[in-house]
Amino acid sequence: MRSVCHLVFVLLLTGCASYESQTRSFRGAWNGGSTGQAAQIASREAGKRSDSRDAVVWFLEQGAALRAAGQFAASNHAFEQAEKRIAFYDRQAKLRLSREATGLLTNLAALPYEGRGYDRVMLNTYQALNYLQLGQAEAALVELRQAHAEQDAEVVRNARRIVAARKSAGEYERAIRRANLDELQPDIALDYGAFVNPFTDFLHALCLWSLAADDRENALVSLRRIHSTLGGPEFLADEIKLVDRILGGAKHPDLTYVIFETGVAPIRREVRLDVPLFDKNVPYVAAAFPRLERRGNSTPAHVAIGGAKREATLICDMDAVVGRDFRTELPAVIFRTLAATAAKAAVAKKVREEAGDLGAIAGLLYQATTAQADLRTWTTLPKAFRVCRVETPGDRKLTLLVGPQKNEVTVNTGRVNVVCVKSFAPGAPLHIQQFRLK
Amino acid sequence: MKPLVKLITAAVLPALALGCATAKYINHDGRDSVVNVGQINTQDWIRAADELTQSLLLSGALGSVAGKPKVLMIGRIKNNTTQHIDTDSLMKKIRVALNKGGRALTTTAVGLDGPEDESSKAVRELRADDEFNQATIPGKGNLVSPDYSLSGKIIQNNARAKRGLLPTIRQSEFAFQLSLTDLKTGLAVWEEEKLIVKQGSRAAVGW
Repeated sequence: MRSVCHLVFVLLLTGCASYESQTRSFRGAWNGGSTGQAAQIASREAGKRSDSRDAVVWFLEQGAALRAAGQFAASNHAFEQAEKRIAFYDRQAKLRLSREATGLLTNLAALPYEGRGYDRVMLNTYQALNYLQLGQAEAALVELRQAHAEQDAEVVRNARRIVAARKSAGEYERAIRRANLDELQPDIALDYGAFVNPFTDFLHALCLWSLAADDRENALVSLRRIHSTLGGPEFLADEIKLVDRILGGAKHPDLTYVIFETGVAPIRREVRLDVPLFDKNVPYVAAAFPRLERRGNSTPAHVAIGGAKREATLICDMDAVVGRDFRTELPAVIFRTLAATAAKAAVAKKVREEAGDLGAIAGLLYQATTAQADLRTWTTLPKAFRVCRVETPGDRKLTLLVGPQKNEVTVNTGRVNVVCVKSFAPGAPLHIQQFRLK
Repeated sequence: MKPLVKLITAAVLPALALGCATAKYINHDGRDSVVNVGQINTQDWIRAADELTQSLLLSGALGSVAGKPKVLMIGRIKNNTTQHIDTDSLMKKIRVALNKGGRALTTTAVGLDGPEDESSKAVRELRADDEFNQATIPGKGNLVSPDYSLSGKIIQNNARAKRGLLPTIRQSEFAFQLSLTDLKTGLAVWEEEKLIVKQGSRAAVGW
């Protein structure tokens, strides 16, 4: 009877709606381009959950929604909240094993969302864009340097996560190693490398050569790296030549960089799989795993000046970034999920033996309700970042085209300007923001 | 007894771990510093700057007339490595050594992309401002044009080799190249290259 009570207690801990259903109305507003409404919903949810295990992911959604709604200072405040929480979890890394134990008895969604590798990089990138919009160049450069450092740090953190997950698997480790779960692997068209975000590198390069007082040469290092990662697109080859000339002291015409953020990043759906473990107590388990699901198709973007139309170059396919991170984190997810499922099956078996029919029912209920995949993911990230550079025309007028949608913008005065264009679902209005770099 | 052993272990292990995580000051000359094969460490900047400065001073290229130091401007220092580095770490050390030796002064009022320090220009913009005592504002023709420019490049070459069952050896070579150009003639009056080569079996840290 005591063991039945324990199970009921654990059930109370875990009975929560999945992130996918939590975010339904928020995603509806966002995909329709209602950024004000999305910002309201995200702010309400983030406020409600500021001390919960979902705080980080909701602060990220809130930051992105407020940014799209043009509330840059409030957006950075939300991102700072996310950053503080992430730093808190990083400091608690030594307690990871006890948290793994919680995951073993419930599910991975019951653990705090600590921010995925690409979240941390994009968090700093959006903060930098907000600071640029607010005219705080030095603060933007600090964020971009942090984003650069996060890319390296995450490789180490991920290795630690895998080791911790293996340890938590305990007696099931060998069995789990043999499990073949290739169907969970996302299909990645492009591979930029673990935790690499070429858009962040591009923005860093742009800020370095146009804003920084020193370290300007590092812009070329970043550009050469992106050029090689992306397979040598012509736009980046031209950009390297241009920046090299500018750093050598050459004058340049007024330039406008148009950054297109199009579509929405993949979300996670739950998939239930029967996995043989070949263990005498737990021969096989039925476990719930997350699987990435792409949303929508890639949309081309163009900038037109008069009759001339120039296509924006794909700088970062966020589907590929998220997919690569998902793949890198997958070994830890598989270990933790299968170990948790096996541990729960063993607990249910014990309760059935001790408490008879009542125990069997409680055990089944326990296994069914705690078998929940962690579907939390930053849903407001875009599908792709595309960039186009043009010489600013005399009348400063540009026509921006994303798929069938068209908008006109008059660019600010300045030697280097940036126009940010955000598109949502087809038919939703484009959101345009701009700032002057130089 | 078993729970007691567990309790003691749980109490002692974190204490041991904390005991290892102390911070300390070290000499920055290299003996105690961290060495990374694929990166330029503090001691590399110090060594390259020392050797390049010595070479420049011994060359006699900065021959001062009647003890009057020459004026240098800092040109472009290209970063042809694969990593973000602060080239100022090199240039500042050279500038400090030349300045202290009284052989050359660096102008901060002229740079390839505008002055390094905008103050010289800003103070001259007060000429029309009645709030300032105009006698304290520098007059026209006081800024000194540089005699020389110092420019250069940092290059990185990586190599790796596998010997039998031994771990793969990684090697990074950093070349620090500098040129001193006489701005009157456009001729490079001094050029030097210093190499720093590092080897290790892993990308990780060594001492």
